[in-house]
Amino acid sequence: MSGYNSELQSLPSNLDFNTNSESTISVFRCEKCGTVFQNKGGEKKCLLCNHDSLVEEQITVSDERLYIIPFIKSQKEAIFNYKKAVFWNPFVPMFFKKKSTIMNIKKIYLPSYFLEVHVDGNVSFFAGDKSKVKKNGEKVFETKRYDVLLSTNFDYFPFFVSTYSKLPEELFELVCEVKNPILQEYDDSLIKDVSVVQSDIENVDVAAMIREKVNKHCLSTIRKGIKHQLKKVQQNDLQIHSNSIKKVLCPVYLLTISYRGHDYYYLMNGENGRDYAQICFGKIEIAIFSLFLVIIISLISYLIVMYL
Amino acid sequence: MKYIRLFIVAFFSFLILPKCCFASTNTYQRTREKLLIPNDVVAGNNINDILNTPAVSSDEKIYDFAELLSDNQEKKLLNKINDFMNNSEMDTAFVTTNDLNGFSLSDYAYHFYDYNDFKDNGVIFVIYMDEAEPRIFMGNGGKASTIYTDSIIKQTLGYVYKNISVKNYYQAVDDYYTILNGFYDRSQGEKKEYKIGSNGDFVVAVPWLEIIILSLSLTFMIVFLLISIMKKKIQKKHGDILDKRLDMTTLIVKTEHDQYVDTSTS
Ligand SMILES: [Zn+2]
Repeated sequence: MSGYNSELQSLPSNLDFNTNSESTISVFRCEKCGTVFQNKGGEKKCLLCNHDSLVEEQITVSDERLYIIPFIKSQKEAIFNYKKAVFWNPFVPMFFKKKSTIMNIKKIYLPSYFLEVHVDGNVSFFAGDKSKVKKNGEKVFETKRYDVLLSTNFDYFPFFVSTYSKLPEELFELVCEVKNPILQEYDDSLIKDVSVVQSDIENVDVAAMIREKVNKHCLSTIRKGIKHQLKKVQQNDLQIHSNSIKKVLCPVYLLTISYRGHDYYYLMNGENGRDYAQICFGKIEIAIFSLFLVIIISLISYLIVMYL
Repeated sequence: MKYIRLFIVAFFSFLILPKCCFASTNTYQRTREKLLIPNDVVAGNNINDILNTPAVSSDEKIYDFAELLSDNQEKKLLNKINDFMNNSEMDTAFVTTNDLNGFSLSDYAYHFYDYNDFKDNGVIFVIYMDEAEPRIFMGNGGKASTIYTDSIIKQTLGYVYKNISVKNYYQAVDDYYTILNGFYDRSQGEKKEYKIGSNGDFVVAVPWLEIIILSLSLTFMIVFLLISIMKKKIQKKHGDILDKRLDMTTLIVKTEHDQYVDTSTS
């Protein structure tokens, strides 16, 4: 990115959770996808890929202050919501609707950061306006160049960022876009029967990811304030601060549907029921629906011809 | 002597005019001077066609040159034809022949109708007793052509030919006028299209081809639309999450300066 000044980013320091104390926990590692989780739910298969080659091992984790959002929604509600999302869609393959598929919905906690972000600073742009003019009887393009400096200052509502890389990021964002989550201090009793997925992204990488995302979004927001046609970042002195940043375990229901070499996910927020189902359209189902439609339309046309 | 002359005349009459005696229809002799054609038929380069077309009285309606029907059958058919003409206000001619006078079957039929004094709105039905097998033709004119479409003619002839092929001519012609009457009645004020059923009854003609084309194209459009809407919905949902998290009430973007630098041309 042009003019990107990483030295001015103040976010990394806020992600420094290092504490002196560490503890050892027992986890399961999936040999297929690499997902590591505390198996409180007594799972025999991987939480993500449903593979059954799980290896038990001990890992050392630093004792950080951790928050948790308790489950409010039940598994029944998750199944109901999933059915609502796929059952009435005639193009979704039957495999998605099979009882044996639906029964794999898992109640899990996903690791994340919950952060408030504030942005301020200046960005200078090369700006310009291009127009067609006549010069010596010939049509030429004329570009007027400007030097534009913008200052900005704004906040983002607190948002979640997943620190588990194996689940598509946008899926997590869609489901965990919550304004006022109920955060509680972590307590072992809260996760007594729920498996906890372990974070697989380093703090420094999470910080870099957030910086890049926020920076990109900021620039696209503020460049709307430039009244010229052409705008190119010359110097970016934006500062991205995080006033509050918490490690949070997000309650979700997850269903992985492996269909024809692809994994499709259904994710539901265990706190508020917000959900999203990744689906695909089956060729056979499209053909069956089309045939059904052809029959219905033909029947209606036939009845119109016969009786109207 | 008088008796001998009468006998000779009678004998030769018997030899020369057997056709006149046994034919159920009278024909008249056309000459170049007396073409015996209706007033609206122009005699130009069609004079030979006119001369080769039998001249008949348009009142008879049945012209059984091939002698396929008995007198009694003709009588019964005439009643049926009169019913048809009264009902439909159309004219008609039914012709059987062994000789097309050098015309094709359709030309024979149209010339027969046009060069005799039949009304403009009407139908003609010809059975030509070809050596191999009988051939039949139906021609129409005026408002008859809007009622008896090509498809109806095809169905009608197809249906009556079954009786003709087994030499049941009377039944064929009787059915023919029943069908004509039926189609005429159904053309009055009804929007439905009918066709002849296997028993000669009238059944609604279902335009299956049109229905299938319609349902296929509608289905294609509906499925295409549904899939596009679903895909668009998915795309819309996946917009930048930060757009939703931006607190617009705090947003300040200030232009500190916007200075003109230079102008370049290309
Ligand atoms: Zn796995």
